[in-house]
Amino acid sequence: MLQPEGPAPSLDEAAAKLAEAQAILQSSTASLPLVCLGDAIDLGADAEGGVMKGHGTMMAGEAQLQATVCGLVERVNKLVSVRALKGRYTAQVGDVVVGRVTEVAQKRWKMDVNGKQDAALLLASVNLPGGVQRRRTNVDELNMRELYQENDLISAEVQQINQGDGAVALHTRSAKYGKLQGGQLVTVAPYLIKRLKQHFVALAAPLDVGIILGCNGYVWIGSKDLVDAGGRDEDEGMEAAGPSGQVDLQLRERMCRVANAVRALAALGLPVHPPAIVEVCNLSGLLRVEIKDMLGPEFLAQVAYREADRRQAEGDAQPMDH
Amino acid sequence: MSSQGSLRKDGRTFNQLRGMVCDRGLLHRADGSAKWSQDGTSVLVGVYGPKNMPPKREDPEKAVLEVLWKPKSGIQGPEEREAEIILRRTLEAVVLAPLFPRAGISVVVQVIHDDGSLLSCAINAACAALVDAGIPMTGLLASVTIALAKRDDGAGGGAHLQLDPTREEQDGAQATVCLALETTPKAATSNGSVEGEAVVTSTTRGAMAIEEYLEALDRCRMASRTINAFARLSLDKAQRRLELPGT
Amino acid sequence: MPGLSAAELSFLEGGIAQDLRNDGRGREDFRSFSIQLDVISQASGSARVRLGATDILASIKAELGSPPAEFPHLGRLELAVEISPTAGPEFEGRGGEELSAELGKALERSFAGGANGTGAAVDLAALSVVEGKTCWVLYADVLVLNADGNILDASAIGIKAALSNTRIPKVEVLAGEGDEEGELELNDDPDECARVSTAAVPLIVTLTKVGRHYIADATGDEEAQMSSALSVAVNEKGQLCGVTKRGSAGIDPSVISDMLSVARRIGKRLLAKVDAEISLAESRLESET
Repeated sequence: MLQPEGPAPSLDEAAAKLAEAQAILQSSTASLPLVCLGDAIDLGADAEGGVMKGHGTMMAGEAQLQATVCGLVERVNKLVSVRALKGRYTAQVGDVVVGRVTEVAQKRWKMDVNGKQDAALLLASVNLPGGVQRRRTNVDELNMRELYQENDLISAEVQQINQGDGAVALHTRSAKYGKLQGGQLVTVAPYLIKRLKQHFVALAAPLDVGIILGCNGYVWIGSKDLVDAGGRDEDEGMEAAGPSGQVDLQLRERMCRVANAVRALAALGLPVHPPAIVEVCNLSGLLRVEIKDMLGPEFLAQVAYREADRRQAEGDAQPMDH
Repeated sequence: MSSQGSLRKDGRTFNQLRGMVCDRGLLHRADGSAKWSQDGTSVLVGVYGPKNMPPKREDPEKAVLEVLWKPKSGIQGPEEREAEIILRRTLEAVVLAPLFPRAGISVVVQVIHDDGSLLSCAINAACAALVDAGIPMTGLLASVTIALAKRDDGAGGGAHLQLDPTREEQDGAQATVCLALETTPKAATSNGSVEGEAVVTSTTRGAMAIEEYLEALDRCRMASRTINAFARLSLDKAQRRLELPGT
Repeated sequence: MPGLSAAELSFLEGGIAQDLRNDGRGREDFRSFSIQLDVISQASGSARVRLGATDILASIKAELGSPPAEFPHLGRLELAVEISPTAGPEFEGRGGEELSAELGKALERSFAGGANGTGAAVDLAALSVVEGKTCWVLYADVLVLNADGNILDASAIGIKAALSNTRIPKVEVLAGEGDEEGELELNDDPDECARVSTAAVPLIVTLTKVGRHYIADATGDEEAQMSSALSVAVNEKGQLCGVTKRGSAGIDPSVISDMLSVARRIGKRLLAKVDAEISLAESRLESET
């Protein structure tokens, strides 16, 4: 996130523009039901029928619900909860995530998914080379590192969440999941990634790169092969296309541009999803901004302005679905 | 400096707080962070968590809170360790730790400049940082320090209560009180809604009469409302800076 | 910094070899940075520098003290770096202390000048008050709040900026009576204060060797992959004020001379940019007051 206070950018004009744009963006949030920690939550009509307290709330005295975090009030039927915007990733079953192996333990890998705890990827939940359904042998257990080692980045899906302590279990039981190579990772705050139908996205030409938008805020930018329908060749195991490290310069340039677009959106606190990424890349091309200058205050101001203009054009202060 | 109506060295009245500034989200690797300044006293706090805890240190029932207090320069001494303990106990009283069994929450305090009321400033900063990290708490904390200055004229007795003392005022005081108050929610009463404050932490140094302590407590209650109002304003601004995508 | 996977490392190195790093920069490009002056009002001078996500506070405290024994006509410049545990979990405890000490030494070497004070970052003779007895001591402290690589270079920028912001009170030596020493009268009226000339203050360019190439202004991830690094202090005249080698791997001597000239080239560009940013920060400060 850009530092909120104080003049940070180098060019004064750019700084002023950026601040202006952000102010416009902020005013569009004026009508949202934000609460502060400690505020009593208006129960309204539900007070009669009884209310179920969800995350971010607690009972304070009789028939009084209080927010325990600062955030957005959400009401689904009788369930009232407050969703804090910042904070670590909270998993939901079916989420596509990108995780990093922190430990190779007995019959499981422990994964950092930017959550409140490490997630577990069980040996039983991965596709072994040479056939999907065979039983795991002792040899498999000893050879776990052949498959995934410490620090490896892996795309996976949330299989289940333990009711009691919230422990998350992942699986890679699909051709498209597995070890990530030949690209780079950009980390953003999880709340900037909305849950979409497709988290494996192939950005069309001229960008021509593949991105994986992990719901946990880990965004992988790599070649399009990752994302193609066929996915990986199962017999090859989890190897992604291309020998590691050797990436064609043109492809690398496109990947860097997309990566910086993600960084720019994250720096401004704007949601990171494919149309926005493409728009930022197009804008940088239009303004002839070099890739490395996409993170400078002038370009960020431009992006913020575009977004502010778009919202004013939409005419209302509701959060927009793109 | 001895007559009731006169001002303090920096031009404040005895019951006046210094100007407050709160910046949030400064540390990109921390889950939450806040820099709280009360004029010349400034503290930066980073919060990491809830996160994994090594098995021997985890608590199966709730999250473990750890506080690291780094002075402006030099290494930690007994004063810093005492501050760590006081701060940890204060935060433990409001953080809803049972929501995160086996996890750990790390609070790192970096003193940037100390011009009096340091512990209060740190408590305010830590509360702001925890909110920034989205960690649920039972209420917002507001901390104030009061220094009991000696009266110049020996006759007349009693001491002046100086709110939010500077380093100079603190060092020259007969006694100091540092209080952390939690604002309890508006409780509907027959007279309309009333907000209450609960004392979470009270630390005193030096000797004072009980009446003086109670008066200090009262002044702190008043002051905590001002601090809370400021914190809420700052929080609202910070919240609106975060984009709110539709679900 | 959490470790990177083998795949990410080779992608990183590949990019460096192709002169296109992960954020689109070339090997010799610095990230954009910003400077804020007078951030700690109680200090004699202060600055905050943000280089990428690396965030540092530099403060200068001018105090009266005694001159060095061997050079009684000079004042003193004392430097220290402190990495706050807020900079990252790896900086809690011993790890942070060691790195702080190492960086402090590197700064000292670049700013202290020769034994007799020539070539120092600031005019040490100008800091003398009463030769042999009293002089100004400038305590320069750098506090690292957030670390994303290249702390040393950012610190040097911070100190240069903080020095440009430093005001030293005017001292008058009153005539003593007979054999008695004259008293010192301090006048800290801001209009009467002396300023410190920063023309000779160098900047540091750290070249980090990753694989077969070296890069300037490494990010945290890039720095974690370094085999060795060379920190070169360059001043306005293009002279080298200090060279510090860090990291365990050796560097071939032929490569070093190449690195030195590259550092000089980058240093010159950086000096111009920093001067511009400092002026900007000054005018911003003036418009605020």
